[in-house]
Amino acid sequence: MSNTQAPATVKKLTLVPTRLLTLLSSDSIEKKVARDVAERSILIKNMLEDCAEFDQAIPIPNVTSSVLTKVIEWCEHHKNDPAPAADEKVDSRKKSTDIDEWDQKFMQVDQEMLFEIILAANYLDIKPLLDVGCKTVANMIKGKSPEEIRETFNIQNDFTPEEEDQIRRENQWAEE
Amino acid sequence: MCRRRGHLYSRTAHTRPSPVSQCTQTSETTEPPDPTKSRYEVFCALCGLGLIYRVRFANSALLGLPNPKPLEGRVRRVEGRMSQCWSRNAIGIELDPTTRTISETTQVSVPYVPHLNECSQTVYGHHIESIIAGRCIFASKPTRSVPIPPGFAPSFNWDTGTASPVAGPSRAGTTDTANPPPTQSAEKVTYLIHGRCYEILRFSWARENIPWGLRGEDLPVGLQDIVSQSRSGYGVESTHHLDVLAASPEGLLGTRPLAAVADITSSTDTYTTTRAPNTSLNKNHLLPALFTALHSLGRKPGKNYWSQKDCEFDSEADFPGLAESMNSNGCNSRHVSDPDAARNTALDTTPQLGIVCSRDMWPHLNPHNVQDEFCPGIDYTGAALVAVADPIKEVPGIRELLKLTSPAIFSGSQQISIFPSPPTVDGTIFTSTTTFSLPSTDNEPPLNPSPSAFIWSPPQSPPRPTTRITPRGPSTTTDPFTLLPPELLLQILSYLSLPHISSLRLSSRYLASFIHPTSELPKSYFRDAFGPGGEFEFLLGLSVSIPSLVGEAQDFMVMPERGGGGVDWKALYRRVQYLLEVNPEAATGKIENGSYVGTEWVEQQLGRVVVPRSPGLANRRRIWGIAVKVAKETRRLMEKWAGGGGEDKRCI
Repeated sequence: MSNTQAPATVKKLTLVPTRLLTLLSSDSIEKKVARDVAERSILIKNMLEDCAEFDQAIPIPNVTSSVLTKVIEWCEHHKNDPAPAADEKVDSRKKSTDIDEWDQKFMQVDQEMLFEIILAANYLDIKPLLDVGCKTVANMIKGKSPEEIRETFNIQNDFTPEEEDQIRRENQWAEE
Repeated sequence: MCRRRGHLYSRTAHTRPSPVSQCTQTSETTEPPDPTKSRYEVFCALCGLGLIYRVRFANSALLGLPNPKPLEGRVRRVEGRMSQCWSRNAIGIELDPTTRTISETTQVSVPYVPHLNECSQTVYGHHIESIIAGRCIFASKPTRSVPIPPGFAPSFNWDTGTASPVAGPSRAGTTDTANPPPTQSAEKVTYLIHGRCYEILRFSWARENIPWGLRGEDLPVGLQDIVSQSRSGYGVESTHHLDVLAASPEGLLGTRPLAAVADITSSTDTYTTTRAPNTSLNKNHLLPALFTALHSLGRKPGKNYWSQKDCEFDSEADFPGLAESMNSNGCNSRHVSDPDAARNTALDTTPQLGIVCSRDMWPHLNPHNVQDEFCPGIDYTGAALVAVADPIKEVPGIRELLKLTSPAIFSGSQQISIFPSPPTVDGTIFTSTTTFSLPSTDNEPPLNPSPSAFIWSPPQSPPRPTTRITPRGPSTTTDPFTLLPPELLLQILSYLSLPHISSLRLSSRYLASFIHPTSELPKSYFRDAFGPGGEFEFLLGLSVSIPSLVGEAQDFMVMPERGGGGVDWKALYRRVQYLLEVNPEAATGKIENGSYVGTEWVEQQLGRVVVPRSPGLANRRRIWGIAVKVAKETRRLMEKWAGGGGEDKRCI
């Protein structure tokens, strides 16, 4: 019995390395990631489908290693999530606060990282992550006055009074 | 006659309060108010569209008018929002629900706040001289009668209310000095409105003597402050002008500019011409002003005018039976009156609408110098409504009543000059209210008209930016939104409502330059508001499994992609937004027996927008219902023939 089981174990162990991919961040840091995790990225998934095997590291030129680490963390957590339907409507102002608790904690990062994650999600085509990022930003905007928004996002107020008047006028329709 | 608070009032024996002068407090009512009377219906004093709000005061003591205490914060509850109310200057009427008689009236000044559930209202007293047929007529309390010489002498003394007779033409040289009006007179009256004291010179004269267009510097010195004039003569001619100034509360508060002045001229009994006196007038703002005027004239709108191009509307068709034609074009043309037309009208029912305003606002009130926008930042809080006169109904004794109460109203002709005196103590309740109770008649305008009586729609075309905000500035170095490509910005915006987007634009130069809230938001932004999870999803029922609704709604949602126009999502979004402001309860759609209920009103109103652009929608709704029935029956028969025999009640 033991003789018959041993090869199976060996086989399983030998399969693991083949399912790992190497991603190369823009700062030339390599990250090992399981294929099914990496395939949360439609970009990577398509690349893998086009090229049967990737022996070399896959370059992710627009994403730094720190951001890539966060993205991989998200993908690992959501690797078993069902894939979103292609035609799924994601725009939902009403549900914008509906962010999964884990995702909310995940998005508790500094602002630079938050926007980097959004950009990375966009680049890697990870729509659910992109949605979470955009919703997070939207929630940071909701209910805030312009001054509070500026404070939140560290935006300098460089409007002239005339420009501010102009924007207010343009906003009238929306505010009515 | 009716008894109220120990006072006897009758239509023919109206006890006038003592003259009010220079905002001195006048107290008449001495008995405590009836605390059981706490129901106040409030309607917009400017638009006069009816009683659309209900305000519950703690008790009538709040309106215990001799009490000079400010009433701020003591309004117990305001039901509904006044967002559709132009002026937020409302009139509260204590209404006996059983007899529909009105026993007390006051002016309720409702400051602009987004949600009026917060008790931040202030109630001010206002002298109301008469209530006729369930409608209020603001009337002045004349302090003195001032003879006005021909030509309106420049030496008119506002302090004494006298003028030295200096005959001669006015600056414009158009006054008919050779044939001076025989019965000119003026009354100097005093109001306290919004805590400020205003002296108003009210002119009336028996025949026209100031040509239209004499405004501002054209007017004789001493009358340059005239901001609104209407001409007619009591018993002489029925030609009348109605100047309407519609100023939004936002405009008054200087935060949201709106202003419109309309000149409605009726030169015969058969048609009315109205025109914007200035080409720069925002026509979107003009129309409400016209409708206000028309409403005051007793006209009932027959349809929504906003869809009509360029403010043109034919009131002969739109106001059936009243044989008018209106045209708000010809903005530059001057009025040509027809003094010979329609003379000898005994009772001129010309309504008057006027605005008492602060001096800063006067330039905006001049129809020949009207601006379509007020300047943000200027304090217009002194602005208020001064005079509203509704069509006078022929009720028994009305003429006697009017003669006794307000000849100016009876003449139907006023020229209002505004002369604000220094502000007095804010919040002072100025007068006691001396009102009548008149029994309602069957023909009187409804006190609480149905929502369909709302006659103006929101502006259809948003203002276009004249110049772009420069995207680059010092802020762009730190603004994180500059990092995001447009499609991601749009996705973030899709989670935000328009007010949030407005705030965002005000916070970020980059975003302000990137997107204009109406002209550049994609169609999908507005369309998705009606989709699952959207603000208005309940309207189309996409989120519930109602085949008829889902099928139809999905069909509806993809219409824009079908070409040929489809649904104007922006207009629809704006329309629904407006409708729900008008009737917030309509948003509380709920599912009962597999279908949405409670949204019928909105859907009915939406038909005005949707149906003309998608005429097949109504048919599809009907056909779908038939198809479902046929399918059910077919399935039942098939199963029966197949030997099942069972009746499948599922919808196919």
